[in-house]
Amino acid sequence: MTENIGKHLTDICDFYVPFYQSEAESDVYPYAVFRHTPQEHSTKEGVYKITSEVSISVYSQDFDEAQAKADAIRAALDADNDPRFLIHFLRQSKQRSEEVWSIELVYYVKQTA
Amino acid sequence: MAITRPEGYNISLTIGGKTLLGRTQEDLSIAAVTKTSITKDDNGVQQEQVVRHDVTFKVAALLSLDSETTHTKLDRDDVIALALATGSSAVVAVQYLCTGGDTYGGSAIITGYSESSSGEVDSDSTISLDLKITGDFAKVTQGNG
Repeated sequence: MTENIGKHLTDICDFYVPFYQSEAESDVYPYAVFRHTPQEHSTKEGVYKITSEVSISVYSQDFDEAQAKADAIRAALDADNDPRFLIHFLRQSKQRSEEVWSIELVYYVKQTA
Repeated sequence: MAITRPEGYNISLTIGGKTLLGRTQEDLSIAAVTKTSITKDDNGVQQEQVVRHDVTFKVAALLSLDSETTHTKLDRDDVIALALATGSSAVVAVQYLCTGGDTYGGSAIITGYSESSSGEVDSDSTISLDLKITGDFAKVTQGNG
């Protein structure tokens, strides 16, 4: 089984906001960055699932814009019905630093195929 | 001298020629059963003699169901059926294989079966099976180790 969690999230979220892994590839707001550490789980027959706690941070200089983008991402992930993935919302936090708002969404994601 | 240390997935227990679906752990235990004796010739020192061995297995697996009509492995329902068997049907042929090592075989009965499941999000449900060898547990093929 090849890990596809990052690609799957990107396919969903990039429609709403530029979506990057690990670090932004642009300095134009708004954008989102996700970080995750996939972990493989195996039986003696091989890997049967890959899990990860995924942090998605949405950045904008305008709070309402950041919140709207975060809400859109959350709605899209909640609506995902791909049977290969379980996406479970864990928590949300907000922060302002150097005139930039960031809204972090944390998910538990499981891939089974 | 070539030394190999097989990975765990190269070691398996077959029950009726099949392994458990989703198996995560297979444990073999061989316990010597001894008899203590003493005669006057032993000068007061008790003697221990091995009279037989208790050979048991414990197998753990993810609770898995196989909807295919031709099962190549034992799923949860197969295992429960085996665990509930009685009389001669309760005796199963087992083989313990280790890639590169000797293969051992014998007849066994299932002495215990359990399932574990919880309501946590994405928790794995598991099964556990205990077996005991009845009679001989002997080498059936020679490995290359």
